Amino acid sequence: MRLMYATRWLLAALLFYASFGLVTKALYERPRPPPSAEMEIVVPALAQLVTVAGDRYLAANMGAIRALVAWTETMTEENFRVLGLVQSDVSKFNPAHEDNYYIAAAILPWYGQFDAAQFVLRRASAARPFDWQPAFYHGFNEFHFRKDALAGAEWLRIAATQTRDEMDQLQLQQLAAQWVNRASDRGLSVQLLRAMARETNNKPFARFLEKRATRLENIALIDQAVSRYREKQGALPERLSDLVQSGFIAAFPEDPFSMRYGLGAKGDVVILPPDTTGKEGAR
Amino acid sequence: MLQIFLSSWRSGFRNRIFLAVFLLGVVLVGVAYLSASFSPRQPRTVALDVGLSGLRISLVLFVLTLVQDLLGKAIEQRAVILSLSYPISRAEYLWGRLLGILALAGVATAILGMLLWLAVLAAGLHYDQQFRVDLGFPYLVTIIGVWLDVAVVAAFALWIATLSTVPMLPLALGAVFAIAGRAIGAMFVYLASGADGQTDLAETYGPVLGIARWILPDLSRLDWRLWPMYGQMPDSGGMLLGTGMAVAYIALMFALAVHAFSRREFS
Repeated sequence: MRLMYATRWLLAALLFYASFGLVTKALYERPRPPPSAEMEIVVPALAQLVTVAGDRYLAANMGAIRALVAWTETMTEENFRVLGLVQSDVSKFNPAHEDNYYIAAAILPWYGQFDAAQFVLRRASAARPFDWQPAFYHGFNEFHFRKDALAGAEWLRIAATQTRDEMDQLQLQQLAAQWVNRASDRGLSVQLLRAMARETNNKPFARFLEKRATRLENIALIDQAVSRYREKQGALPERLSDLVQSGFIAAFPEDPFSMRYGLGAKGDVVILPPDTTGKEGAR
Repeated sequence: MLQIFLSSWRSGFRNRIFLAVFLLGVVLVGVAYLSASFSPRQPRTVALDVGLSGLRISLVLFVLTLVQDLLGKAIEQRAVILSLSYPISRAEYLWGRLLGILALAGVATAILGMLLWLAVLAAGLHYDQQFRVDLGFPYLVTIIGVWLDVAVVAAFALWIATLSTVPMLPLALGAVFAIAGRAIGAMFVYLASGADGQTDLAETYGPVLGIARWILPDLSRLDWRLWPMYGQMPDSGGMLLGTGMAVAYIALMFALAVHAFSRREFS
């Protein structure tokens, strides 16, 4: 009797398992929602505060970690705008957050978010009177992106007041002096990126910065070759491979982010998506 | 009163829920240690920062479960009648309970604070960050600030427990009180600075906050973590005023609790 009873339940279990299997099969056949792209939303500041039990420092840390793990290589312009907003909010919760200003300096201005980067850096500079770097990055951005050498030099001088190390002070002041007399300088950007890569213990992020430095070097190399080509031939090359064929460049550099380099209408180097057809489409 | 204090103290160590909440605190310290790996330049600062947030969350839950158990349940199960049959006043009874709860919270804060101290030290072993955290006196002061913050929440929950006829009310309202008290400072600054240009938001909630600050203590004034994290000592006048505010609010809550408790009939 008891055996019958147990067997009946075993049969019921099998039946349930079969229905589970059917449902699972149907479920796996259905399309899944696409994985959400990075940085699509920004939560209002007050809502962020409530979700972390009212603790503004925790809210700052959540935002900073979100900014750090964002995979910038696949992000669109809109995603970078949201990243700028997220990092600005972190700055409002805790302006002294070191990672936040560092990530802001390393990413935002390079992807069009100049104002957000400067906002974060200005507040960091004020909240960290012992740290010369936020003011330095702020000055660098003025110099490099706005081509405003004087404003850049002014911020370098502020940076020099925020260190007790006399050597640092001297170097910052010397650099400020140089900037006043210099135009946009790609070599300087490469140096800055490499210096930032050396300063972090986060290896993937350091590799990312290193790759960006390499890309800038590549672009500078092609730029120089294009200029020489134009000088000698009196016209722009038809396509970039002409530079190699005419011997203006020994070998064509590979992009560290697996994209392609192409030639814009005015002879400037442009970044193109990877070539999936196998043909060289760069002009 | 001493008897009530000691009974609170002893039952604090006996109860399993307290142990569970305490273990949550230990887990959060572990999370703080792991969070350091998300920091490219300041692993110890981030571990300390996240750890202090974890401490504040778990210790609030800790005192709320204590109030719930030592007072809420005693009232609900009428065990309080037995305690009050001793020759002590109701104020003495409540005072004993509150002191017991604050003492237990002190022990828990000290233990979790030490664990966090170790976790922060361990977090940055492989990276010499440029700006070091100060785990000496500034850290000690910050931990005392955490305990004061939690003590205010405990006093509020004590008052609610004396009023409430619903057993979960002190826990629920206590948690809301803690969140609101900690957020009010940041909200105030946000709205006062123009709320990112959302003038309607500032206009609607500005006056609400203006009234709320006379009811809710600004618990963010007891959060002194910038000192150990960035070596920036908060202004000492502000620290003293913050401490004064906490003590005054605890006294207020205690007085209200005695008032409510002495009017209550236990049949």
